Amino acid sequence: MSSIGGSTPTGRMAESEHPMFMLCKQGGLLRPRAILVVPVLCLMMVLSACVTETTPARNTARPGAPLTGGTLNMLGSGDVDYMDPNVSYYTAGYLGLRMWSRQLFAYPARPGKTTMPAPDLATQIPTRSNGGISADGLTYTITLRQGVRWNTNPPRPVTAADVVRGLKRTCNPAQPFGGMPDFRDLIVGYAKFCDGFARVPQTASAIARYINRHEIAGATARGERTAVFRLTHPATYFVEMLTLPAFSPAPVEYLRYVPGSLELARNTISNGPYQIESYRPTKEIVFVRNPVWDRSTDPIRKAYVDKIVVDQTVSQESTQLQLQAGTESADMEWDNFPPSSTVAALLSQRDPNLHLGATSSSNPFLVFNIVSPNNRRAMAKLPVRRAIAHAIRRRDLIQALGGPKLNEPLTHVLPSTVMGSRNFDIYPYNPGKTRRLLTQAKLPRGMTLKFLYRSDSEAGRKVFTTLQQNLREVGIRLEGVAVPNADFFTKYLQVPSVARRGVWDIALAGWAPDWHGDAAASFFGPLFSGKKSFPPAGSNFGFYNSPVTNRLIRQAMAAPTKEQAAQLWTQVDRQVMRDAAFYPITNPRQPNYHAPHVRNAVFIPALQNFDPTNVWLEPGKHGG
Amino acid sequence: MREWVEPSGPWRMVWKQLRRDWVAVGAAVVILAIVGLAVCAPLVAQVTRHGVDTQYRTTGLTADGLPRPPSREFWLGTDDLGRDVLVRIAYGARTSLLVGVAATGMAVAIGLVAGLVAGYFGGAVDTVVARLVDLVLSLPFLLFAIALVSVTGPGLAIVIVVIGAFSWASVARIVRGLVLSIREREYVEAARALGASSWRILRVAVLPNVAGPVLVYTTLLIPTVIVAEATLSFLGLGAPPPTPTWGAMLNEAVHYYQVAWWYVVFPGAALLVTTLAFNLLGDGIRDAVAGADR
Repeated sequence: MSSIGGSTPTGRMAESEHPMFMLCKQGGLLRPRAILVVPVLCLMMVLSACVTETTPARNTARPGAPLTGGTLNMLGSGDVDYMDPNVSYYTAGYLGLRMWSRQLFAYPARPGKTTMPAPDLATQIPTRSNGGISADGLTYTITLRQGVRWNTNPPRPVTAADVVRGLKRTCNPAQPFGGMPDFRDLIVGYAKFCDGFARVPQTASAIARYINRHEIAGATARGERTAVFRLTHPATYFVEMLTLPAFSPAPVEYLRYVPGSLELARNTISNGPYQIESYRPTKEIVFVRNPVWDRSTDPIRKAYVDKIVVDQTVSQESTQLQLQAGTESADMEWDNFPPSSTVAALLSQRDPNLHLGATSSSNPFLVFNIVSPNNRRAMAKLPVRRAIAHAIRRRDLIQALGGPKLNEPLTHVLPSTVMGSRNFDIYPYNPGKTRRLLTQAKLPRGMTLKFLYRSDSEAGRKVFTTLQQNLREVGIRLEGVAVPNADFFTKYLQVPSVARRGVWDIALAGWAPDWHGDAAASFFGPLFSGKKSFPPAGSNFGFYNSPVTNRLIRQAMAAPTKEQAAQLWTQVDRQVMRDAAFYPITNPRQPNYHAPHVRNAVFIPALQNFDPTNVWLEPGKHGG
Repeated sequence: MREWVEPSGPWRMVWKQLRRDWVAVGAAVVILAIVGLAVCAPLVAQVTRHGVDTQYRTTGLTADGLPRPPSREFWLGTDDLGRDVLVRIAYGARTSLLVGVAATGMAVAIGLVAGLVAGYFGGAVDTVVARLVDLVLSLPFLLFAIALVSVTGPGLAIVIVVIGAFSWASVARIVRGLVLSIREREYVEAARALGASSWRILRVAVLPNVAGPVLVYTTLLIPTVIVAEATLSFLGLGAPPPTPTWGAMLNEAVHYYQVAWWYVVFPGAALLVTTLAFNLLGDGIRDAVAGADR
C-alpha cells in the first residue's frame, strides 16, 4: 500500500511514511563484513580494490561506450528496511539488494523491458513449451545457472537448497516478510509450514532447527541446480512473483542469525557483483566488488563501477543541489528524489538528467467507506458512491498533485502498464448527474462526509481542499479528519471498528503492486477480494465485498494462460468500477535525477530508481 | 504671572509620554491597520472578487499546479491551490489577532489572579502557586503542545487554550513580585489598619499599582502568542485546512520557495510586521510607564 505524502510511491506503503520502515532504522555501528574473511580473501579484495581505484578509466574506442571503474556516490536520507533479502519489503531495501543479492528472475535495465522478468539465477524463463511449467500449470521447474557462487571461504555454488531455504526464511517468527499473503496459499504446504513456524521461539537456534527439520511440500530442491515449486492453482503471475527478493536464495550460514537482525546485517554473504564492505545504519553503506562474482553468469548486472557509496545523511534539497552541481562526489539519488518545486523548474528547462518513471501504481486514490453509518448509511448505497464519483473533477486533483506531466490520469483500477488494463471511464465529471443520483437516493439535505487524511502530507491537504470545493458545488459538505502520519494506518484504516463507527467516510490511500507486468493479482487480491482482504490483514479499507467480483478474482487468479487471465482481470476491473468501490485518480510518474556525468541510467520501476549496477561514469568524474 | 500646572493622573502622564514617542505611535498605526485589514477581510474579498477558499484553477495556477505570481488579478499572487494570497492574508490576520488577543487575555487573567493571590496572601498559597508557576515554566511548550494536539486533534480553540495555559505563569511571577513589594507599603498598611477587607485592598490599593507593568507585559506577550500560533500552524497543529493562518501559509509555501517567492514573502512579512509593531508599541508603553513613574 502506498501513501500519498511523498513522491516515493514505492512497493506497497510508501517508505517515508510507513511505520514499520521507521522502526527498522537501527542504530549502532556495524562491523564490516570484510574483516571476517580469511587473510587470503582479504588480500584478494585489497588488491582488487587497489587495482581498480588506481587504474584510470578504461575507455573503449567508441565515444559513449561503457567505462569501467570509479566510485558511484549515492545520496539519501533513509536506510534500508532490512539487510536481509528474504525479509526486505521496501524499495530502499530492494535497491541495496540489487548490488549484492541475486534472484531467480529480475527486471533488466533495458529500456522498454524493465517490467518484464528476465532470468537472473535461473537459466531461462519457464514455459510450458520448454518444460519449465507443467501442462496443468501447477508445477514450476527452475534450473539454476552454473558458476554463480557465494563469497564464502572457500567460495561455494548457489544451490537449489539455498533457494528453498530462502523461501522458508520468509515466514520466520522473528521478522516475517511483509508480502507473505501474496503467496501464502499459492505454494503447496507453505501455509502449513508457516503456521508451525509461527509457534517457534524467536531465537536463531530455534529458527534454524525448525527450518532444518520441516519442509514445504511445494518447494523442493532436485539435485544441486533444480528448484521445483508446486502450486495450489495455476498462477500466470508466478514468474513475476519470483522477482521478489523474498525468493532469493539464502546460504546455510544465515541460520546462525535471527532473520532481519543487526547481526545478520553484519555478516551478509553476497552472490552479486558487490559485497558490503561497511554498513553504518542510517549513516552509510559501502559496497565494493565481490571478487567471486563472474560477469558471464550475470545477465542482469554489468557492474561498471568499482565501488558504490551510499551516504544516508543528506537532505532532499542538498541532494538535488549537489547532483545539479555535477561534482564527482554526487552521482545518484538513494532515497531522496527531486523536491516538487524543483521538478517543475527542471521540467520547464527540459533538463535531460530528470527522468519521470512509470510507477505502475494507483496513488493516491479515494477509498469509500461502505460500512459507515453516517448520513443514514449513505456510503453503502451505490447511487451515492456513483454520485460522488461524478462530482469529482479528476483534472483538478491531478493539477493539485503536480499536473499531468507527473500524473497520468487513472480512471479504473489497473494502471496502463499492468496486464489486463483497458482504458475506460464510467464516471466522467457530471455534477448534473450527481444531483439526479442524490435526489433518487433520498438522502438528507446538506449531507456531510468525513475525509480522512494525513495532517503532515502536502498531497493529502491539497486533495482534501480540492475535493471539498468539488463536492461543495453539488451540495455535499466535506469535513477534514486530519490525523498524524504514524496513526493513519495503525489507528484508523487498519482498525475495522473505526470504519464501522463512521470516523471517516472517504479516505486517501494508495497502492503500488508488489511486482510488475502480470501484476493485477497484486491489486485485486489485497484491495477488493471481499472478506479475506478486510483489514487488519488486508487493505480493503472500505470493506467492499461483492460476490461477483470475488468470483471473478478467483477465476482470474487461477486462469491457465496469460491471455485468459488478462481478459478476466479486465472484467474484474469493470466490475469494481461499476460498484464504485473507490475513486482512482492517477498512476503517478516518479521523478528521479542523476548527475550529468552518469551514463546509462535506466529507471527500474521495481526499484523506483535508476539501476546502480548498470550505470557508468564519465572520465574525470570517477569520484573517490 | 503665575503659571498653573494642570494636575495629571498617572495614565494621562503615560499617554502624554507615549504620544511623544513617534516609533510607538507608528507601531500603533500599523497595528490599527492590521486590525482594519482583519475586520475588513470580507471587503478585501469583495474588492478582489476572490473568495478566501475559492480555488482559481485556470487563472490562479499553472497547468502543473504551480502558484501564479502577483498580477493585476492577484495582487499578491496565488498559493499552491490557486487561492488569492492577499485575501488569505487578510483572513489570516483575523486568526492571528483572535489567537493573540484571546490567548493573551486568558494568560493575563489567570496570571493576574494567581500573582495577586500568591503575593498578597503568601504562606501556603504562595508556595503552591509558586511551585505551579515553576512547573508550567519548566514544561517544554512545543513538545507538550504536539502531544496535546495529537490527542485532541488540531483546532483553533485548542491552540488558544494551549498557548494561554503556557503563558500565564510568567505573568503570575511578575505580578507576584510586584505585590510582595506593594503589600508592605504604608497605604496598604493603613488600609488594613482601617479594617478594609483583603479583596478591597487588592482591588483598590494593589491592582492599580500593578496595572502599568501588566499592560506593558501584555503588549509584549501578544506578538509572542502570535508567533506561537504561527509556529503551531506551521507544524500542522493549528487550525485545520482550509482555515487561513499565516503559519499554515508559510508551511504550505515551504515547498515552493524556489519557484514562488511571493508565497513565502507576503505571509512572512505580515507576521514580521505585526510582531514587530506589537513589540515596538510594548517598548514604547514600557518607556512611557517608566517615565510617568519618575
